[in-house]
Amino acid sequence: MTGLRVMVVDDSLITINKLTKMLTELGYEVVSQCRSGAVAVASYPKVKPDIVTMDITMPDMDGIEATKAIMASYPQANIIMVTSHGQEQMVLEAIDAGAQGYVLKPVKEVRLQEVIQKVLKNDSDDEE
Amino acid sequence: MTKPLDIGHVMVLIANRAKEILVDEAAIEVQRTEFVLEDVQLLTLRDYTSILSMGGPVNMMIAFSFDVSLLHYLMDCFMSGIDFPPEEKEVYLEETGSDLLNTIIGNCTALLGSKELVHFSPPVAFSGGKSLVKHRHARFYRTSLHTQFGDLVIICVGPKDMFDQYLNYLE
Repeated sequence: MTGLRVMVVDDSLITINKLTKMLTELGYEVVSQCRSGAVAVASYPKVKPDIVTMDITMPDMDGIEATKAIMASYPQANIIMVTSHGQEQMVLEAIDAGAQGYVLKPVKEVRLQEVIQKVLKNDSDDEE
Repeated sequence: MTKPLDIGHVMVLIANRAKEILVDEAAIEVQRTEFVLEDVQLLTLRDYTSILSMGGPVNMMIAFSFDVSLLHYLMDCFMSGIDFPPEEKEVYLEETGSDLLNTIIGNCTALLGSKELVHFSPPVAFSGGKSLVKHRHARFYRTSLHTQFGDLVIICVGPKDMFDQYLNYLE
């Protein structure tokens, strides 16, 4: 167990289940599953996860808007976009919104772990 | 203003990405592929259909229509090792189709070569043998991917502003 707590945000039940399984196998604890950006923004302050995996295309509020909203109140949040949207312009939008990592669907466990570790390393470097 | 992308080119990209993902994620080989510009008034859908709209340089609706046998096999692959309540099987079947559609269309945005951002909506799923009726200005493009588990029919309807998200005509 890494002891780290993760919030998974995705409108797809399939992806939520797959990500939860992968993250659990990697030793993370999935503490919250949200099916829209709006739910994620409302849940974040209650859950205060160490990492958020955020989809982009979702009903109610998309992942870019949700990331901006979370980062505005919690600038230390660690948000990784996990999305099928592969266009370079979208990656740049996500980074502008405050995302620290980008994982393209279909998600591979190795890639997910690599990006999480990179984000956490940058986070600890910033704290030093 | 960017020039709209050619619908035929988009269909080839989507079909190719679909074939790659079927192999990578479920070890399903596509045995035969058909590309058709449909000259019909009525297009019959398969057992389960997921649909989304694309915006920006690509102005169209995309539907993935599945034979139930293929969708069952895909669901079993995607949900391998994950428990879910048996009474929710229908929901998970529809979610499987929508998840695949979302993944393939999202991946294709990177392949379109557009400088303009391509947007697409969350998918909407429905089941049952419904049909699409053609409006006089609309065009149907159909690609059928035949596999040993059943067919995936990819349908492109353009232009998308003739239909709402359930493919009803907008007056």
